[in-house]
Amino acid sequence: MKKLCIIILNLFFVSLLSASEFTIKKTVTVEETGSSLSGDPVEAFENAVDNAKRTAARMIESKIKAGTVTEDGRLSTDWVEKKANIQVFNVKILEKTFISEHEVKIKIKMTAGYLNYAKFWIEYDKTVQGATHRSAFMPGWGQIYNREFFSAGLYGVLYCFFYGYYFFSIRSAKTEEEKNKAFTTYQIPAIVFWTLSISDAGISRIMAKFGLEQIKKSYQVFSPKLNTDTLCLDIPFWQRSF
Amino acid sequence: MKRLSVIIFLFSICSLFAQEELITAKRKIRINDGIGRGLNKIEAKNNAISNAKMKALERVATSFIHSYEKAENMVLTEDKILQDIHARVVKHRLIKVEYPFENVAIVTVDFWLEFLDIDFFAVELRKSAESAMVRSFVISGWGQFYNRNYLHGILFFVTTYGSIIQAILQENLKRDLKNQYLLATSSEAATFLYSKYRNAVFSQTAWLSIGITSWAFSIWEAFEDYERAGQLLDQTHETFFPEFRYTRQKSFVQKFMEKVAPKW
Repeated sequence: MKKLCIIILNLFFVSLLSASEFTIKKTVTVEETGSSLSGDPVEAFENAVDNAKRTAARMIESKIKAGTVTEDGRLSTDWVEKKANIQVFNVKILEKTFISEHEVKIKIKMTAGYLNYAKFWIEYDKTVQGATHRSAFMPGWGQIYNREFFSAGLYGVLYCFFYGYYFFSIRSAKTEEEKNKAFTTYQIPAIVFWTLSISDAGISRIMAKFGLEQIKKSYQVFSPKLNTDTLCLDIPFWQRSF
Repeated sequence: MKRLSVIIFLFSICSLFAQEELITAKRKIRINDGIGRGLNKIEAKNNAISNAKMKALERVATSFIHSYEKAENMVLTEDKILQDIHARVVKHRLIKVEYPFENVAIVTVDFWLEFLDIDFFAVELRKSAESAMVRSFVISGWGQFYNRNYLHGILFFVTTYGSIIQAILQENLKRDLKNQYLLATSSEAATFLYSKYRNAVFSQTAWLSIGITSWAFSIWEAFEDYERAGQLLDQTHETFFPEFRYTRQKSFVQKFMEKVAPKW
């Protein structure tokens, strides 16, 4: 029971600081050897660690591009490009054995994360107008669009609560004074929450864009969209980049 | 006395929380492959520790590996590996030193590192002053927790709900005193009970006023304090990611409040 409590507490505190909304984590174990031509054990050891890390990085995530050029029905050249952009979470050296002074065998366990591209691009393409318009239509909808579900619930519930009360108060009001009272007590707070919801949705989207831009730079992500500049007829032909 | 000791205990816990940097994550990592060479054993050990430090930084979160490999006609033409480190070492402790060869040392060192999780940062950046205010409207002190100002959050929560509970208790006392006053047999007892009843009414009003004022202030403070929380996040980001810059924007309500609110 005590252990369970410790695990739950640990999970709670870890979850506080690692949101991992856009990163997918993966763990791999790799065995590699490293050698040194000059017979230096330090160089051999470092080469082994580097080799192992490189292999692990490519096992976790790698984007491959390849191309071939054929001339007269014969393959003249071919090329393969491999790229990997990962965030390292943990690297552990499980075993290290010196086969000789210039050769080392190493076994590593590596946990790394790579970007969840599908989720990232969906979020990245969202606009400020999209968030504000949704919140203007229904308080809380803009927050759902921004994936802030808790805030969405708060705005939605508060708006419905005050507007619902206003609606029932107006229905049961008999005098003009009672109607005015219902307006000041319930409708004004509802309008305030509505305004707050619109403003919050807008600024959240603007700041989220900055956050996503930081992730994009850190992972060295570039737009997957086609460059359509060359297809645009408004650009004079001498300025087009073919 | 018991209540006072509870309050002092809560304050001491809060002050502990307040001293901690709450935006960055801290992590302990063990490096068992720090390797170094030197002219003697001491130099080899020191070099190995430096090497281990570098490895610790490379292996903790927010360290990015970018690798690129190109092969043409089955021959490797380019092979690059680039590492971006966004973390720093807070302290370290040497665990073990091995000397597999002459003047070559392999060390095992524990490192405590500090870093800003980029995923966490992206989520944290979405927070707004409006959300903090609405949270404090629902529960006093919640907005301060949202702004990671835990000390103020606990203070507002305790003051608001403590005062409201006191006001409710005074209401019960008031009701009892009223019943006793109605059943009083002598004029002296009636006068005494009436004065006690008046005191209960006064203290109930006072407690209720404190509670309502504290709640209202909590809402206002959550809105105003968001700027501090945002700046703290920006400064932390600048420490760990100095090359990636951005400008903090103000919301429509914040701009409006800047114009409308009195400047003390």
